[in-house]
Amino acid sequence: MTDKVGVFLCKCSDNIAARVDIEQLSAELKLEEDVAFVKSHELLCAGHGQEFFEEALKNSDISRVVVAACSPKDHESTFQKCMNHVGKNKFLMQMANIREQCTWVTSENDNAYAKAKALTRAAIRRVKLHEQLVEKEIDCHTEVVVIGGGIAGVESALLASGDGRKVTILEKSPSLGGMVTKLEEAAPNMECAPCMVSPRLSLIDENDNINVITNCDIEEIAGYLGNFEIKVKKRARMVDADACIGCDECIQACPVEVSSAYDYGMSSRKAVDVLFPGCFPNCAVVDTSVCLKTTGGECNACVEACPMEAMDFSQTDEIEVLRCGAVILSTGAEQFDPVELSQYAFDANALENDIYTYSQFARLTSNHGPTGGSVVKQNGEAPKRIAFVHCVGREQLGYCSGSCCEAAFGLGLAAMSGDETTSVVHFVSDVMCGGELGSMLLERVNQKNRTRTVDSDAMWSKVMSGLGSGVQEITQPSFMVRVDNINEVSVTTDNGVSAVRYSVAGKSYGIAADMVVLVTGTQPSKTSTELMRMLDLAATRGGFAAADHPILRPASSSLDGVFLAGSVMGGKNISESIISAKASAGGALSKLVPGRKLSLKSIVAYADEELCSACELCVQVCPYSAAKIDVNRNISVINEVLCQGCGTCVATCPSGAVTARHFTDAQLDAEISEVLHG
Amino acid sequence: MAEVKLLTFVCNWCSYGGADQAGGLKIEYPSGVRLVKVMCSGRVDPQLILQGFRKGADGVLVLGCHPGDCHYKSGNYSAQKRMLLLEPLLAQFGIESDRFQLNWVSAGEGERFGKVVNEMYNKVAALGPLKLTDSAVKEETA
Ligand code: SF4
Ligand code: SF4
Ligand code: FES
Repeated sequence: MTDKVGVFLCKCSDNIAARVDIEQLSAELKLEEDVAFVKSHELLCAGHGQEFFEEALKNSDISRVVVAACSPKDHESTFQKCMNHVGKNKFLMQMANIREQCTWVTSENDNAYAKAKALTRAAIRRVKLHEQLVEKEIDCHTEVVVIGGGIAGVESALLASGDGRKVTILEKSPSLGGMVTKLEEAAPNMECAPCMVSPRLSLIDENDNINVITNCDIEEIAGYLGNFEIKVKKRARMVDADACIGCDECIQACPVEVSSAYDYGMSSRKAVDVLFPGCFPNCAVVDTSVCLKTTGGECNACVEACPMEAMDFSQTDEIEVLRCGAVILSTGAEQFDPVELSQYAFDANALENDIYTYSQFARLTSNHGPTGGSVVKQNGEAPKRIAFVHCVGREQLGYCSGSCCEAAFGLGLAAMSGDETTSVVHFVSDVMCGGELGSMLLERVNQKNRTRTVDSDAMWSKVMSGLGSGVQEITQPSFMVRVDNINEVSVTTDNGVSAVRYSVAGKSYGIAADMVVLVTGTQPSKTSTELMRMLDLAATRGGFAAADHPILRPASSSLDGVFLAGSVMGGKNISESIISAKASAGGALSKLVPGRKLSLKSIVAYADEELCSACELCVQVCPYSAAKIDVNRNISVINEVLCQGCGTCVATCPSGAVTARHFTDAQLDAEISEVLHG
Repeated sequence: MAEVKLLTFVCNWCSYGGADQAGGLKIEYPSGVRLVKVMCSGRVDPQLILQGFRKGADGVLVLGCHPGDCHYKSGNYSAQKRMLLLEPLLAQFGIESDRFQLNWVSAGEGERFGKVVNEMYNKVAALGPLKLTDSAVKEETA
């Protein structure tokens, strides 16, 4: 085996040869001391060209090759494959781009010749210094863990388990389904939400490859593609999940009643309860923070009531450690809390005054909500006019959440399906409810609202006081009012009737409404934020989990192996959530194939422990958190799974301790000096 | 104008593609423009640039993806920050600051690539060939 270099010059028909005298170049390069042979060809990338290339290498003992031809973007992989075919290391091949960078852009033939020669000589000098890199493979886990059991989590788990792969869903609350379970009808086409969700949950139940852990918290999560470790705390349920049949005897017996967070404080629940009727798993759970027995009191009511002897107060929290190859983060988002803004009168008396957030209002439309699905005021009467104020919190959050308009118009339509005298008015600035279905929804709200006439005189007289002068009253608005500035819309309340104040074309108006719904923006959930912190994921400006690339890789997080599904990325409607869920599952499936190892990038960086002073600069600049200080050895260690080979750490290290494979200082120096020569 | 050499570092993802596109569009530029590929503009450190000047470059151009578009998310920002360190070094070696530039060219900007290299080349050509005076630089060249 000689260390000399075999050089191939491609004429690229006439694309190169018309400008550069290939025979002369070949003759000149043959004289170089590092060169074993120079061979030229008409069209090296063509089938016969590749055969020529492979034949020449088979019959020679050289290991290093230079191909002076087109751009490596076109054919580097072609010639790398040829290298592989003849049993040579593909990293010992370097291309000189004498077409795009030379013959196509240089006017004088002499100049093109000189440049082509310099580029080829630079490639020769460089390839002499190339290392025989190996393409490493490591074992990996192919299991997938889905964090968050809302609709996005459920859908990604169903798809990811499709090929028989083991999937675990981790859910904080006692049951799966998430926000969608709180709705009766889902916008834009107002389909029955429970009818969509229940069969999906049944599929999860029937699927032996999907393991569901509810009522749990994630204590720790770390790792990288192929190799994550998750420490889960399973909170004691105090109910034997295998024995419980969800009959609700314990719930009837329990003497403790507390406000229901699921219903946003609009109903009460017991200390032992199910999240909602028909939930999955349909199993009771004890809230140990309010249960008499677990807070030191005397009570045995549920234990006595349960026909299945399922109550089990000997349970304690348990820790389980899961290992998986990919994580799908579908932990959802939260709603902006309008309490922060005084302009909406969303104070302690808000409910009493019939002022709701739209999440609360959605519960009023749900058959298992606090009013059994009828949209009525707190006094039980049907509302005459419901005012929806859009964009609540948009200014504070700094972005349009994108999904609230559609949901709010859906609620507007749902609200009118009850009492014949109920009308709606939406206060908006921009309307984010597009597409065919969105437009149809708007039209439906409009049509339905036109059938309603509101005799608001009675209401109006009550709110006149306190509106201030110069405010014109509006009694019969259209279903949607575009206001001058949505951030200045305000709500006042008087004698149980509210007034919404706004301006259009510079004029102030006021309208009476006996129910006000605040359409609040979407903000990152605390759970998501905490998980993002633990995984060191990049965030958007608003604090949501950022896509690795918003256009090209919209369901990948900044950490390879962690995928994003649903509104953990920011407000999404149900179908968008499901699309991202499926994209996430697809990402996990294609990255981790059972029985196959994970191939690593060869062009990565490594730190020399002799030279490293543990200054941490590489840790700070690495866009992939691949460089970490090993505290025991006090040196930087670059994780070769995480490293993407950008070389930024190399340029940053003050000690010259980091080397980027295939782009070493020596290789670049050689290339630089030769490329400038001649 | 004198013949000069403009050493141009291009990142693998955007500006190399921009140069390829300029080639495809047959946009002419002087043959003294010589490209060296790195994976990301973040790989280019001041030493590499000085090395270029020592080895015969009359000007050095570093091209990366546009801010926000770096294939590695933030490599070009690191490059940008680091270039602040370069200025005093250049001054120390008596290299006019006009002989160096950091710029952005995307893979779809063949025209822009041509414009940027031509303009930079002309600027360097107007300054003429670089005469390194500092002996330290020359020593290292040896
Ligand atoms: S920048 Fe260099 S010296 Fe500093 S920690 Fe990283 S490898 Fe070590
Ligand atoms: S080469 Fe880039 S990705 Fe790899 S450790 Fe260095 S900075 Fe991180
Ligand atoms: S990859 Fe182009 S600048 Fe980072």
